Amino acid sequence: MITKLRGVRIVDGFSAAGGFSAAGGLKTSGGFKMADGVVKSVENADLYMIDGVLSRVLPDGKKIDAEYALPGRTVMAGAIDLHTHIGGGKVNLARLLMPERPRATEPMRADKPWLGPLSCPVPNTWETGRRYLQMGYTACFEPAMLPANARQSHAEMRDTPWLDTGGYVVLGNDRMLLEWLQAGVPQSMITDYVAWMLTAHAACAVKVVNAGGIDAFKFNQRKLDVDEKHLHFGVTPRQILRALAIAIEELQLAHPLHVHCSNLGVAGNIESTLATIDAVEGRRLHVTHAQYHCYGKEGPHGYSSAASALADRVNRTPSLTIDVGQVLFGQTVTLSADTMHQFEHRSLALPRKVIFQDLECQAGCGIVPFRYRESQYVHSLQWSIGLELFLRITDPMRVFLTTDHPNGGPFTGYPHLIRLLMDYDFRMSIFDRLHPDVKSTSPLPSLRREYTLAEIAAMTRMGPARALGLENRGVLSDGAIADVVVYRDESNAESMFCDPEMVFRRGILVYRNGEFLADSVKSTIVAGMADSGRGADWYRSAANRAMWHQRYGYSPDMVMVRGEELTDEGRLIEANRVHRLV
Amino acid sequence: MNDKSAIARFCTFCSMVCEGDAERSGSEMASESFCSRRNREHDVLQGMLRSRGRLPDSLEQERSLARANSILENGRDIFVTGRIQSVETARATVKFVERAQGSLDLWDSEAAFDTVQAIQRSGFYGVSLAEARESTTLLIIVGDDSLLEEYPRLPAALSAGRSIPALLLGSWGDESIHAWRQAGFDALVVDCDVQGVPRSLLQASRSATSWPWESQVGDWLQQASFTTVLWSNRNLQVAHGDLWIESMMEWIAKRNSDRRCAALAWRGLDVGFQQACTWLTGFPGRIRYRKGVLEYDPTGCRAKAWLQKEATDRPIVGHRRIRNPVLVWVDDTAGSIPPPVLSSGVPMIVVSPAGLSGTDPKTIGEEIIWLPTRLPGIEVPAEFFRGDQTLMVHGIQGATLAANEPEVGNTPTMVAGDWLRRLVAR
Ligand code: SF4
Ligand SMILES: [Zn+2]
Repeated sequence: MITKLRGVRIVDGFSAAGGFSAAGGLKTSGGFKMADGVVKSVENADLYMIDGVLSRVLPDGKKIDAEYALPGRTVMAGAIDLHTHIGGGKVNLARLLMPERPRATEPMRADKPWLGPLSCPVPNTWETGRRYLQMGYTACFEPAMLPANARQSHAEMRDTPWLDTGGYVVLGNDRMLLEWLQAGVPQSMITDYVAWMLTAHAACAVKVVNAGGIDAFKFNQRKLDVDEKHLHFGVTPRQILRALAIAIEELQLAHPLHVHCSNLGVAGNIESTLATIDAVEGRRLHVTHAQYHCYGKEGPHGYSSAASALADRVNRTPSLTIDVGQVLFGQTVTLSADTMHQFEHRSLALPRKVIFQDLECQAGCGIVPFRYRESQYVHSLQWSIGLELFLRITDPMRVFLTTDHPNGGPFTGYPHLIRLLMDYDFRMSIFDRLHPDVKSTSPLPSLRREYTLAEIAAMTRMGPARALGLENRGVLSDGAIADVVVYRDESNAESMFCDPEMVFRRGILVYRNGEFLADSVKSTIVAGMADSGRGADWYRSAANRAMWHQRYGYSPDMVMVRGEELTDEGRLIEANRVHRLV
Repeated sequence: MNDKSAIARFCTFCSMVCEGDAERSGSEMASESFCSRRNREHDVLQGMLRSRGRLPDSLEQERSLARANSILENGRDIFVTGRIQSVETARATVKFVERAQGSLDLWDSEAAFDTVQAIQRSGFYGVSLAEARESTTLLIIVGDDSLLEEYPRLPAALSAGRSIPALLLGSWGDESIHAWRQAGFDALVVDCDVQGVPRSLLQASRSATSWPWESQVGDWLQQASFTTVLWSNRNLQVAHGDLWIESMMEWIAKRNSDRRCAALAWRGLDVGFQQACTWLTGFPGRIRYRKGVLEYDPTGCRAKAWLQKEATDRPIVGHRRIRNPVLVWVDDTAGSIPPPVLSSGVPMIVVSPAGLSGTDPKTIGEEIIWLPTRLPGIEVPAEFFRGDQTLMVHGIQGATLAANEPEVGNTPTMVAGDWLRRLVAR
């Protein structure tokens, strides 16, 4: 099957620092147009999708099956959300907790009924897949897959149509690891164990949430700083972070340690966030929902923005990436494995109901419904901090567009967020509605930067693809997977990004103008490892299996997710790229 | 993914999903991991095999499917119920209900919905099995002997090999008490009405003088740093189970302000259906589709109420029912269909491993069609949830059916999803 898109504007991710980025630069044969001083796009180009793969040229003798003339349209690769809670125990508990549905009075788009509000902040799997595809997203990653919940996470992602998916296994509060660190075992044992946890749970990366803190909370410890000791095991978050980062480096995982720092939401937590970054001693690191981790203690409310400190650090540290976790005003549900800090915020629940779980000597979960309001000081501050981070970090290849769905707001707010980034006046029109103490102190009005389309493409496509080691995604270069989104050019970025004209998955037109035309093949992305045998080695050790059995009361076989579970109904498994150390 | 192709073997007779000895090969699992209840279930399996009788041949089965489809074609009010436990069956059922624009509620879903409604009103503090085993410093068990009759290996599964104080509240016989003590618990029994337990605990936390139980209990509660409260919703003999759970949660929430406390609310295998239905639709069951719109009606959409209404209140116009109700019974168990369902007189499509032979034809309503299926977890690998809702397991039950197979043994080729996908409604 060969499809041709004729006369389109191709917007690919370029580094804002100028020139082409490392992974998958654009090769074109003319037609360049300087869109602005920094980034480039290609005007009036042709694009071929040949059996699910992109090509800029049609090989000799090949016949085109379908052709679309699309002048004045912008074409991008399928977008990638590298941090969105779409499957697993706490996601499903949040669904259960929130049967409320919005009243019919909430605004609907009469002209485009498919763009109405989500049925709830944590929609069911079908709605999740549908709404992501409708915005041009084709790959989404569940960032907090508890080992014991991994099979469920994969099952939910399996039932999320149209999207390629993957999960990050949560480590760093698992007692096996804490015991080993306490005992001071050699790093090689920890690296083997990390390899096994990735393999057994079909994960593509490792996430750490409040290192050691979730477990400390089970021992009634209510706070754990980066150099503070877990009262029972005597280990510090710094030790945990370092051990995991080394394991990931040794296994050469494409995605670095994905870290939810200590002190989520706590005033003054910028210190522990910077200490967390230091803890990995220069190794690569991804700091997730960074907005929730860069607060100072200044100002009348004892809560202030420390976005410039974090942004400076990111700008100076090429090995560091972040996603923002932008807050958007309205009703949502916050959910996190970080029971310690979710518990601290339980009285803020709206509606007034919460779920907490202590889970399987591995982690926990805390679910707190929440409504972000413009009139509230801290919420306004959070909104402005997120935008500050976006605007101060210069390289869009290292700052990714997330709301930490559903924590900062449902993912369907992305087009609105894109407009906030691309349109200074629009941004200020919302800023004017914020709490007066935020308005009088925030530096946001002075940040006049407006993101370009190419920068948006970088932060939603090429950047996350590179961060995850997805070599042939996120770009429109020859050989890439033909996940392609066609947008109408509109001056209002929100209208443009919430309603693409067409979406192709692997070269097949699956969505057009509000209509779903076909299902698509789905892949589960798992970790490519420099030495994947290390996981099997761990499993083969009778001592390891016995220890596992003693800890959990069942064997590792019970939780191991097998290939055949991920490949029924034609689904695929793909390993991401191994990160080559330079 | 490990290359090891063996499928984990476990017991699916209850939601403990105990695992056999994984180090041993062969078709029979080491029995020490399993309990006596499992042996009783072999009789149920044999009954299932007998009830299948001579399995209809594929041509007959196709004819049954065609008849089922013609009933559905004329059906106006399609209600799906049954005993759904595996994720696969749940998935196929939910899709069918949507296609059929029908209603869905599991049979015997009352206890499950007590928990659901308590959670949806005020939330929950929970703990998973392995965590409770490791972290608990005081175990409070609320209920009666039926808890261990239904889940015999609970004490063993919760035993961490050290002595933990355990407070048994309710009415407990010697055998149960012995089982907890044998598993290493330092068990203290307080014979009381379980209905009042949350209130007593709440009162005690307000003022020590209103303490109804002996002082040892008070000391334990004082000293415990991590309290786990264990009950099983299906084995709790209380009125207004939802309110009971809410009161218990109120106590647990309070207790968490200066120490740790959580509930291990053990659920039956139906939790697998509830989980899958929640991720597929946003709701844990009791749903209906009306003109393409999904409605959640936890108090109104109940299988038993629907059936009662259909059985007693059937308006006939001429010789045709005006509503044309159809019941679709979907079963993942070896059990037979409950008599009130069979005798309701509502046309019925049964998608189940157990056959209908042995059922009295006089009590059966006007039309009943059986589409035979393999038994998930026994005859075909399947996915189940453990009763704490944390672990989802994939595999097959240890013992081969052949070992207990009576003469008439006969294995269908289809699973429930195969039939449900081929059922069409208007
Ligand atoms: S406790 Fe339940 S799962 Fe375990 S062996 Fe007995 S019947 Fe089977
Ligand atoms: Zn998150």
